[in-house]
Amino acid sequence: MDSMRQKREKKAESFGVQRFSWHVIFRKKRTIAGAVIILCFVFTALFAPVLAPHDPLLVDIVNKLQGPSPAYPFGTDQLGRCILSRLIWGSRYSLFYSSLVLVITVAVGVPVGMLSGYMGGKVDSLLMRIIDIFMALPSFIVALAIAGTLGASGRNLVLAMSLVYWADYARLSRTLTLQIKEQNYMMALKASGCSGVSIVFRHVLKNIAPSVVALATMDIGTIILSIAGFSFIGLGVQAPAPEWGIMLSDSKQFIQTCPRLMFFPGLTIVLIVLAFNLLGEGIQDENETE
Amino acid sequence: MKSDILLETKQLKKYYGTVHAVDGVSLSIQKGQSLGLIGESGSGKSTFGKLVTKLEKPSGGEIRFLGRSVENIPERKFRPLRKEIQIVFQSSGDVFDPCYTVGDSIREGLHNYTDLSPAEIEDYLDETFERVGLNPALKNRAAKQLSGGQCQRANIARALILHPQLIVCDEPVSSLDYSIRKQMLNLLNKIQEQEGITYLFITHDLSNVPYVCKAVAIMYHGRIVEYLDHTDNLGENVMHPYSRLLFESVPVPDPRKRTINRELPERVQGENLQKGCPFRGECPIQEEICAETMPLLSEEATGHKVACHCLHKANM
Ligand SMILES: Nc1ncnc2c1ncn2[C@@H]1O[C@H](COP(=O)(O)OP(=O)(O)OP(=O)(O)O)[C@@H](O)[C@H]1O
Ligand SMILES: [Mg+2]
Repeated sequence: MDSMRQKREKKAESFGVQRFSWHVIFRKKRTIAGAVIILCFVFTALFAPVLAPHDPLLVDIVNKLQGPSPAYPFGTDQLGRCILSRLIWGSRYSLFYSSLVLVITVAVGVPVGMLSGYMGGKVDSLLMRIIDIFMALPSFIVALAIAGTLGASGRNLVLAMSLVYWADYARLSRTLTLQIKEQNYMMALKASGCSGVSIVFRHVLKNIAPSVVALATMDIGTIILSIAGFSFIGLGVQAPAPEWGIMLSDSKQFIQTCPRLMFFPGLTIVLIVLAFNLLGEGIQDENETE
Repeated sequence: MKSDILLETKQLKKYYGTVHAVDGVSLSIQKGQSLGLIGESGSGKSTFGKLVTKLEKPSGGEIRFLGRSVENIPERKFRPLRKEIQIVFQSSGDVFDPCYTVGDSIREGLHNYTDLSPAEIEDYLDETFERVGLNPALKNRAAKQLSGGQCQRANIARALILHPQLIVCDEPVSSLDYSIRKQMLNLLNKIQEQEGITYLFITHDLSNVPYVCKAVAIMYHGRIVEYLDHTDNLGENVMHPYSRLLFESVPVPDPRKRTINRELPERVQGENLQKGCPFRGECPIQEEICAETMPLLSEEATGHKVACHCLHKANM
């Protein structure tokens, strides 16, 4: 488990104080491609009820395991449900839960990290110790423990992942805050009579925001993958919800007879993770680390 | 006349680990009597400036500002006093938050200390920009889009906008080229005359001092080695061997008048600095006592204090 922790620490520390402006990010075609794919997924998720040709939960046993047809473009699954409709509705789970994890981790991790870095001293030692404990937690064990005690559900999976990931953001924010605290403009702000709260939330926050965004875009692919993975093994979203991981899990027994069942959700997951990685790398490339 | 003292330090100290950046400095600045603080690089001038503005925590000693003892009061209590003591930092470019425009950074002080309306703030900001010779349109730029001279003016504008009684000017002109230096010094002088602002003027360039200051203190290795409450004919009046050396090393425009600088002797370093006179390594007139006891400031003439054991030799 130590290597995992070291990897995460390294990741958090490889991010310096970064600056980028939004229009330069989209200079490269790859980045634009990533962003376009993500936008398509967001659009799909928002308009799922309109876009999906069928009810994703509608069981129609008579029609099971049909090949692609005009009515069912990707065919039907073992219960006769429309695969395309399930994939379309499934984008809601992936995007919603992964955004939720990100929002929670950033909202908790960044203030804790800034506080720790800015206050220094005893507060810092205490918070750092807590952060270190969470850095050492493997997400799998936490997910298992939470599913075991609180039950397996999408909501509890979000809780489990947030519990693990916030520490990355806390650590990153702390490191960056320590760097920024040494800058001369911090002293100048103090000389102008700014309070600690104003310095942290108006100046430090604005300076570390680009790095946090960069880390978040790098992380979101992993989070989407984890949500699908945990749902696949039954620790996350539960059937019959049309979640991509569950779709994969359901199609395990048909891997030989009907590989299509596994192919489409698999491809969808690969596509969205790829898109987020393209965007994340694009942002990384345009970053000027100080 | 006691009430005229703006700032007074007693045995002020700042140690960074084993480095004694400021080591027992006692100075006072009177209203209208700008003080020049001179010393070579690393002598602790900037550290002293940050100590008196409470941007660094002293390791020991006292600071009285406007009659109040401030060395131990918490930031929350000191904040109202900050309005009266502002600082122009030595480096100018990196003292503005790169995420905001220069104007935003300067407005910050007004937001904190006044309750002017946004329109009044804008007017006042423009007026202050003009006062320091900056085009008000530059307020919407980031600091890195300004030239060094513009940045320095913006820096002065930030200190000025709160109408403080005392401004610590840390090498306000040394980052500028010669043609602008004179302008900036004129500007500082004008401000001090028109608005009754007093400076603690930190510099290593002696030629600026008589121009702006009414008193001068010379610092060596965290200590004041000489203090004069007048600045006429500084070059002739200074007595401490270090001060004399400083004046000799000011480049003389006429090459024939330059004295050839003697080789730099071994400097006193490390542990030995804490015992005896820190300058003895370079001192041309030292005696045995210099290695044993630290010379203290003593009044040699009215308003003229020197810390040297061997003055009788120096002025032969
Ligand atoms: N934050 C710090 N941490 C450790 N040492 C420091 C720190 N700030 C200053 N010092 C040390 O204190 C001494 C005095 O530094 P200071 O900046 O006050 O010098 P200075 O007289 O302003 O020099 P200059 O003319 O180059 O600006 C130097 O030896 C410096 O290395
Ligand atoms: Mg300095």
